[in-house]
Amino acid sequence: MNRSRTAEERRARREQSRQLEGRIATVLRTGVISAAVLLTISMPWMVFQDRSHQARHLSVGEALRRLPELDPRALAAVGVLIIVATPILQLMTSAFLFWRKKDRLYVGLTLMVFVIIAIGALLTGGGH
Amino acid sequence: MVNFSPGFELTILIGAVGAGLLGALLGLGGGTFIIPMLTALGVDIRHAIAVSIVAVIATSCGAASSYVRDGLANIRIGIFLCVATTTGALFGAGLNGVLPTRALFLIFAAVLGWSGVIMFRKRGRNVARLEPAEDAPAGRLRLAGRFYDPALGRERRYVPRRPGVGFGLMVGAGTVSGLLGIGSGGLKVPAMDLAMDLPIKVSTATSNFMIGITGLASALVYLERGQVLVSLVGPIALGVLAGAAIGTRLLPKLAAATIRAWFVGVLGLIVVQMLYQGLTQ
Repeated sequence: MNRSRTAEERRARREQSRQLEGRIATVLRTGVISAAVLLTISMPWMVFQDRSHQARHLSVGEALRRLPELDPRALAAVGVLIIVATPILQLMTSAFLFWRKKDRLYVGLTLMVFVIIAIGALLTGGGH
Repeated sequence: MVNFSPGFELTILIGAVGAGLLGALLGLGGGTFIIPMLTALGVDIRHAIAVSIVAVIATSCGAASSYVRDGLANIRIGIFLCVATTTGALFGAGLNGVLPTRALFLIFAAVLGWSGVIMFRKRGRNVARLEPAEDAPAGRLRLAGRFYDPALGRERRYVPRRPGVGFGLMVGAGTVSGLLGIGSGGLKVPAMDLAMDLPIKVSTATSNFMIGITGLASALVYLERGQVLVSLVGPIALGVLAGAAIGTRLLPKLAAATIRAWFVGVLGLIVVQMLYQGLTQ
């Protein structure tokens, strides 16, 4: 009796964790595919468009400002931003799903990772 | 400065496909290959490092999207160990300039070389011996997992051993990457493999889940400083995404011993790089 209940619990828990994995995989996949599409469109366009010296050394931030002009570099820059935003979404989704599963320990650990990264980015970024 | 031409872009695109493939397969991120490739082509090291961190995040997300879905990457282990690596990275960044970098490169070259030897000797070990009993306790952290291994044709269960030691080693791995600016994948996989006794496929897949998160803080800083050049990062990111897509299809099919041997080979390459930097800096 006791044994069958634990087996059932285990199955339910496994099912829940599959759902968690599915959601996180979807978030990652969406980020990766949209970035890949933007990069695939902008790459050939960028290569054969005006290759002035200045345009070659544009940073992501500078390229983004060209978005209204529909510059291919701006599209590529959006793709890069999506890539960098994906792990942030990955963490946020994990925290949310652990919270939904009432897994307090892992909500705490996920939020801790978040805070440490934010401190890291602020400390190293602020030093320059 | 570099002569950007369609040929140059095609070269780095193809190189990035290889880096993404190996990165996704071995849990390394691929910075080990991208930075030397770009500097060899004449790109400034500051730009090469900044582009490489974005590439590492791209590889990680691309690979993790498949590994998480297939149950190869263990999310709990990933999050648990990310606490350690990010803390370590913060600690390492704080120690920058305090410790002698040259000596550190040499010490860690030795540590990695030693891990490589042990990992290589483990390759022939009987996997069945490592399998836990059905009701083996998973512990309070609930880190145990299972995945279907097509190479074995059956499901494999595992319970990580010594999570505390793994956590400690990950703090070390994070510190080293914060301090030396090297990708920590080369340290993460041996820590999971040697301390926690995870199956090699779970180690490399979980490392992929982690490196994107670990690299995030530096990526944000490089973006903010304007060090990420679009003309470089575009082809590189596209290339590693393609490479990662190939790598993730390959990993489940390969035998564990093969992945182990490849990993040790690349680890040897990293050791040589570290020795070089330690001796010439």
